[in-house]
Amino acid sequence: MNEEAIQKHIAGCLKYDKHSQYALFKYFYSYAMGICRRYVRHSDEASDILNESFLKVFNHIANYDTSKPFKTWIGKIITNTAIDYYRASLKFAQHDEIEAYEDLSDGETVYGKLAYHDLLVMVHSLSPAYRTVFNLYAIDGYSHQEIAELLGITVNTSKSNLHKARKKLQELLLNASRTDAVSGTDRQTAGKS
Amino acid sequence: MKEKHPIDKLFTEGFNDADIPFDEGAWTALSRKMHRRRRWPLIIGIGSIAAAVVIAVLLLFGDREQQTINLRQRAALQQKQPVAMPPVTPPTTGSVQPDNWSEPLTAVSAQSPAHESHHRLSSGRLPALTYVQRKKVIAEVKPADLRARPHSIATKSIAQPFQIHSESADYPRTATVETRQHTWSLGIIAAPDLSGMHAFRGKLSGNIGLTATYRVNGWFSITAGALYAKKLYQADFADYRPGGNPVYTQYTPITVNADCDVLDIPVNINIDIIRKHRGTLFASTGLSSYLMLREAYDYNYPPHQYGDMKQLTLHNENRHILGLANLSIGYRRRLGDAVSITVQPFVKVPLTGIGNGKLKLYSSGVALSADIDLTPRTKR
Repeated sequence: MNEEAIQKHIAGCLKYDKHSQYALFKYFYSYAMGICRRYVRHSDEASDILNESFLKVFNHIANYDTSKPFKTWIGKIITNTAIDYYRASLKFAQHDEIEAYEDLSDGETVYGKLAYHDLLVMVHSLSPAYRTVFNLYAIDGYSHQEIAELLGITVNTSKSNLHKARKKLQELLLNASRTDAVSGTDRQTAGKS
Repeated sequence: MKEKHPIDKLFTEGFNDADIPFDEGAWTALSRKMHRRRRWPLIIGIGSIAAAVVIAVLLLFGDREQQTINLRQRAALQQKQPVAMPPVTPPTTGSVQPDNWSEPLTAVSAQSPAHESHHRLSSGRLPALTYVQRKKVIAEVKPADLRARPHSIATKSIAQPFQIHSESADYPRTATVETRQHTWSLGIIAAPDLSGMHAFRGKLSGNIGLTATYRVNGWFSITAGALYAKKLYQADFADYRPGGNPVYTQYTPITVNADCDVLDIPVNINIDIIRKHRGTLFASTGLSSYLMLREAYDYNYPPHQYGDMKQLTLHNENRHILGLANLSIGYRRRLGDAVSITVQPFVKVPLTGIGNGKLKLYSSGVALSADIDLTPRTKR
């Protein structure tokens, strides 16, 4: 769907046209559900957030600023809905000593490319607080300042949670690499014998 | 620009590759949620307007049709019985005169008492009648005299001209009613109402169903029925007192939105207050039983409190036998021998807590019904 078609359907949605609503929902479904699944573990919760988000999209579409990408606007709504959904479960430990996390660097590490589902399982293994900050910062491009305001935490707490999330993911990635290496060796051994 | 952390980059690229197949069921769920709340009130609104229009048309044109029939019958009778009658002298009081005033009275003697009337009905020329005399004569015609000759020309010729224009014209009809006091009638009823925690306030809801009425005597009748009711209402959570299905939440909801399907079984007594011409004003009271077929409750939380129980749906869990009092007044209008329509403002007052939340659910509305007299014609 090109931008012109999107704008046409947005105009249709302003008139509560069901066909336009369906067209936009279908077109952005994969993108939207992708965000939802990153933030919550269970697929029914993801569906719930998706439902709630698109209700907001269609009910407040008159507020959409057409000078900005529609996809970004939808993404923000979904992110906010997901955060609201899990806000009660987000238990943040306040951290002020940030220096220890500033220099964490994995810059030279090269990870093998993993499938979408494997990455999703890894992100789901994080606690809600770590997962939310990691999603917001690493994937959705929020700054620590924005995250702090959004979640009602300090900037340092945001950085701390991000650091811990990365550390946990790093472990999981290394484990996955080792498992791949072992299974690769096994396959080679089996091939030789 | 600061380069992205490799872990962030890995996950960003991986998630960008996500290709989640479209789920038609997700759209169905969303669509239902978006359009559900509008559809039912729309149906009720359109239905109510349609019912109001139909009743208005029947009230306006039903009467005219009956008048036309009466005039035709009268004309036919006059052709069969071409008796020259002197014109009736109209009253001089300046009151509104019946439009058939100058037409000849075909049957009744001015001076004769009622028990003699039938002897003179087919006789020759009769003296002129004044308006007062004419009314007096009609008033003196006892139902017993009319019952004695139900098929005589006399009865018809008296009844027809006066039915339309004179209050005393109801006399022959009264006689007919008294011969068949015990009657059955079946009614179809549609009743938009406001359902909520207070009378005369709430969300637009509706009822539709069938009623059966047994007329015990000329002024007293009993009505029972079965109505499918859609109850949409909102209540403060403070008023919501769940019994068997408590709300387990970390936070307390603010309000509860209910969407309930109910089978309403009313039993009412009706007392006629005023009967005039073909209309009857009556009062009605009784009790209703609610069988809760389906109860769906949406719990609304304050902003930013999510993750708690959001909805509860129950099927056939609650029954409230004689749990509501019905109060109403109504106006019934006959459209013919067997058909009548009724407009009946009502209020249902809860005597017990209704539904899972034991809420004091009031319903206030207007019932519109069409009734058909099922009493066999041979009994008349």
